[in-house]
Amino acid sequence: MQKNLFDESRDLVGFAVSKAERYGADYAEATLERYSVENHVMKNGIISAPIIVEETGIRVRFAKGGYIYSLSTNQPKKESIEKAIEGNMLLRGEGPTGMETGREKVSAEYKIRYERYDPRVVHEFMKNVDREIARFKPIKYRYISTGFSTVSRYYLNSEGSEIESRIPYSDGFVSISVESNGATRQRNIQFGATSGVEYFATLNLAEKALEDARNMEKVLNNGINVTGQESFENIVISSEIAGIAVHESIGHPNEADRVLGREAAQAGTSYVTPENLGLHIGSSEVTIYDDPTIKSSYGFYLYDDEGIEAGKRTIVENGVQKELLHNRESAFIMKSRSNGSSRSTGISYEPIIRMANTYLAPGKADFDELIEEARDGIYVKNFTEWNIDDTRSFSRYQGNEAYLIKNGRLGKPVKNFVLETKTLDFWSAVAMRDKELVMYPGTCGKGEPEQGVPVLMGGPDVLLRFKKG
Amino acid sequence: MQNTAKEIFELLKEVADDVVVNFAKRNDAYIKIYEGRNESLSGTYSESATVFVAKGKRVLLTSMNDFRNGAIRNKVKEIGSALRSENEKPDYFGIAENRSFKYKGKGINFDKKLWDVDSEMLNDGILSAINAAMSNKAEKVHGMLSLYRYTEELLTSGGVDTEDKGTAIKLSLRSFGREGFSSQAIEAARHLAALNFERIGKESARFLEMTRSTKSIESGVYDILYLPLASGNLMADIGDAMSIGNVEGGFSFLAGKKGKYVASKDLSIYDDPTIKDGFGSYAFDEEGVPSKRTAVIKDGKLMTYLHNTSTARKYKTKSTGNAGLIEPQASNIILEHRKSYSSMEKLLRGVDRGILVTNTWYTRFKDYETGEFSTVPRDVAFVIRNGGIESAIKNIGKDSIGIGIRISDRMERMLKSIRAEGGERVQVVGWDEPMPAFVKPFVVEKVKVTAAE
Repeated sequence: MQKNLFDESRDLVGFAVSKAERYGADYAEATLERYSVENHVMKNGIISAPIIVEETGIRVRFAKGGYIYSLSTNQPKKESIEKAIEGNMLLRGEGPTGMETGREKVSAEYKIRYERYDPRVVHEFMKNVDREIARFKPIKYRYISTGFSTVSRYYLNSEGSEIESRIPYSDGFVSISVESNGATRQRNIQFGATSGVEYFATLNLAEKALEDARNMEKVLNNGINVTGQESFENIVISSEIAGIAVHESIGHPNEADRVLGREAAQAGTSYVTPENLGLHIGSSEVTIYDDPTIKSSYGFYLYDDEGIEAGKRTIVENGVQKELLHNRESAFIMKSRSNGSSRSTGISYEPIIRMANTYLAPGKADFDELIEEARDGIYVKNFTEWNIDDTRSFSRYQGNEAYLIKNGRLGKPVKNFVLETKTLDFWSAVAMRDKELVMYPGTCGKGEPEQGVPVLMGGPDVLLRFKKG
Repeated sequence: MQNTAKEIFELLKEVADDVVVNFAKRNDAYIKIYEGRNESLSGTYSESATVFVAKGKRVLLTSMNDFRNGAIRNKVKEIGSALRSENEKPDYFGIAENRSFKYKGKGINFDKKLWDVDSEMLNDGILSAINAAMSNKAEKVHGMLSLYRYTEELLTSGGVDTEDKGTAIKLSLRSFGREGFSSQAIEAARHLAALNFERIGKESARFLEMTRSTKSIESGVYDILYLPLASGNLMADIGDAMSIGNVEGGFSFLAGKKGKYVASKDLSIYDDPTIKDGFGSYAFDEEGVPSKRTAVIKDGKLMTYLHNTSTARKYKTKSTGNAGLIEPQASNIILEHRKSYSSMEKLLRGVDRGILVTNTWYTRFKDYETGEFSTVPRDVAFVIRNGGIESAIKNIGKDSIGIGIRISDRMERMLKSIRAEGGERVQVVGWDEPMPAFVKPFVVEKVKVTAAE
C-alpha cells in the first residue's frame, strides 16, 4: 500500500531547516502540512457541487541578512525545496528586520479527536435545516454552507523544537432574507468549532434561524424609525455586538505588526502606537483577553506557526492597554517576546500576527438589570453591516434587530438604529456588564494575499452610557 | 507535464460523463515594503490539477497535487466513489462543447521579460518608486510588490484541448505624510513595460502636500468625486452582483431587474476578460469558452447576468464566458459614461459643495438585495467648494491619524446618480476588493455621509 504523501515527506522538514541554515539563516523553521476540506452549499433547497480538496505541501521560513523569507511548495521534494530557496533570493543588500531567537526547544504533539467524517450526515443536516426554515413563508432566500476540514502539521525549527498537530474544523453559515410589508432584511448566522461534524447536531441552527427570521418580520411590520440616534445616552448592546467591537476596535489595533506599520498598505494601521502603549482605552469595566487555548473553540491552537506555546493574553486590563499580540518578528523589532500569535491560513501564506478567541470579560449583573439601569434607551440585539476606519478609531454597527427601552423595560422594535462611534468613546461608555459570556465565530482577513483564519469574538451584554454634551 | 494532465483526463473519463481538467504550474512571489525598504519575501511554487466531474446530475470539484506513480489512479478511484455518493444537482446542465472555439486571447497575458525578471530589475523598480514617493513629501512608505507566473493546460470532455501561459505584476504603495495623512496608489499589469514604478511612487504621495489646511465636516448629503481607487472598489461590488450565482443566492441588488433601468441612461458597465494588461484577463474560461466582452449594463439598462454554460442553459440564454464551473464570476469591470471630461480638474469644476474621496475600504452590505451599504474613506479626503479643493477632512482629533467619515447609500441610487466621469481611465485592484476595474474619476450626486463628531 502506498504511503500517503504527508508520511512519506516527513524527512524533508529536517532537510528544509538544514538547507536554510547552510544558506546562512540566523533562524529557520519548516512545516509540512496536509490540508483536506469538503465544502457543501445549498441554495434555496438545491444542493450545489461540493468542493473537495486535499493537498500536502511544505513551507520553509527563515531570517537571513535582515530579511524574512517564507517559501512553500505543494511538491514536497528535495529539489523543489532547493529551487524554492535558490530561486527566491531576490532581495538585495541588508534588510531592516529579523526574528526573535533563543527560545528553549519544545517537543509537543496534540491531535484533536473527531468522529469519522460522513458526507451523508452533512447532507442530512443541511436538508433538515433547509426544510425547517423553508416553512416560514416570509423567508425569500435560503443559503446554507458547511465545511469540514482537517489540518495536520509537522514542524521543526533551528532551535530544536519539534511539534506535531492535527486540528479538525467544522463550520459554515446560514444566510436568510426575510420579506414582509414591502421590504426585506437579511441575516447571516456563522458557526464553527475545532471538532468533527458531530458539532452540527449541537447547534439548533434551524431554531436559531427561525427565531431571527420571525423577529426580523416583526421589525419589518411593526418597527419604528428613530431619529437623532446620536442623542441616545443609554444603549444596551448584546454579546454579538460586544464581540465584533472587541475584535475590530481592540484586537486588531493591538496586533504589533499594525502598531509598527507593517500592515499599513494592507489591513491597515492602529490608534495604538509604540509611543502610547499603556493608553487608557476604556472605563475600568473593560478587560479584554485573547485566548487560543479554549478547548473546541474555533480559534484554538496550542502552539503557533513559529513553534511558540500559546497562552491567554490580556490585551486591556481595567480600561488600560496592557499587551500587544506579537510574533517573532515584532518581538525582534520591539525588543519584546513573542506571545505565540503567529498564524497562517496554510503553508502557502506567510504566518502573521492574528487573534484567536478574543472577548470582553463578563461582569456580575443580570440582563434585566442592564435594561432597568438603562431606563430609557435602545437595546441592540444583533447587527448586519459593520465597518471601521483604517486606524480602528471610528466604527459603525447597523442594528438588525433593536428595541426601544422605556421606563426600564423593552418596548417597540426599531427599524433603523445605527451605532456609529469613535473607539475610545465607545469603550469609555462601558458602564455595566452582565454575567453571560457568549462567543461568535468569524473568519478574520488580513495580509496580502489576503488570508482568512478562524476566530471567536464575544463578550457579555453591555450597558453603554454615553455622556452627551 | 502534458502527459500528467492527459493521464488524469483519460482516467477520469472512465468514472464520469463530464470531465474538466485544468493542470497549472504557478510561481507567485510577494515582496513586502516596510518603512521605505524591502522587508520580506513570500513565495510559493505549485503544480495542481483542478478537476471538475459530473456523472448524470451528480457533480463535484476537486484538485490533485500528488502525481507519484499510482497516486493519480488512486485519486481517480476516490473521485469516482465520492461522485457516486453525492446528491444530484437538479439544475446542472453540462459543460461547454467545443464548436471550433478560437482563442484570440492566447499569449496576450504573457510577457517574457516578466517571466525572466531578475532581482536587479525588481529592486531597482521598487527603489525608484519609493524615492519618487519620498521626494513628493512622503515621510513613510509601505507596500507590496506581487509577481505571478503560470502555465495552464485545459482538457475537457466537451472537446477542449488548449493551453496558455501568463504573467502579472502589481505594485501597491501607501505613503504617509504630516499628521499621519495617507495616500495610496496601486498599478497592475501583465507586462513589465506597462508598469511605471516611478509613477506609482509619485501618485502614492500625490495628495500629501495638500493637507496643510484641515477642517471637520458635518454629517449630511454631498456630491462625491470618486478617484479611481474608490470608484474601482464600488465597481468590484457591482461585479459581484452581476454573477447569476449571487443573484440566485440573494446576494445581488440586480436580482429581478433584467431588462430594467438600474443606472443612469448615460452609463454602461462591461465585463471584459479580453482587455490588454487586465489583471483579470484570460483567453478562455474554466470550461474553455473563449473570453469575450459583455455589456452587462447598457445605457442604464440591465442586459444580462454573467453565466457559465450550465447556468446559461438553465435560464435559456448563452454563456457569457465567465465560468467558474461552480459559480460564474466577473473578470475586469469597465465603466463608461457618456458625459466624459478630458481631465479630473474639469470634472471637479462642476462640483459646488462636495467631497473628493481618494480611496475607500471595508464596504459592507446591510442588505445585498436592496444594495444598502456603507463604506469608509481610507486615505485623505478633501472638502470641495465651488469647483476647487478647499481643505483636507479631519474629523478625528490629533490623537489619531484617521479622518473619521463614512459613506452610506444604496447601490442602484448611486448608479443612477453618476453625473459624469473625467480624466484618464486606469486599472485599479484594491486590497479588500481584488476584482480589477478600469475606471475614470466620476461624480456621484447627493451621497449620504456621516462624520465623527
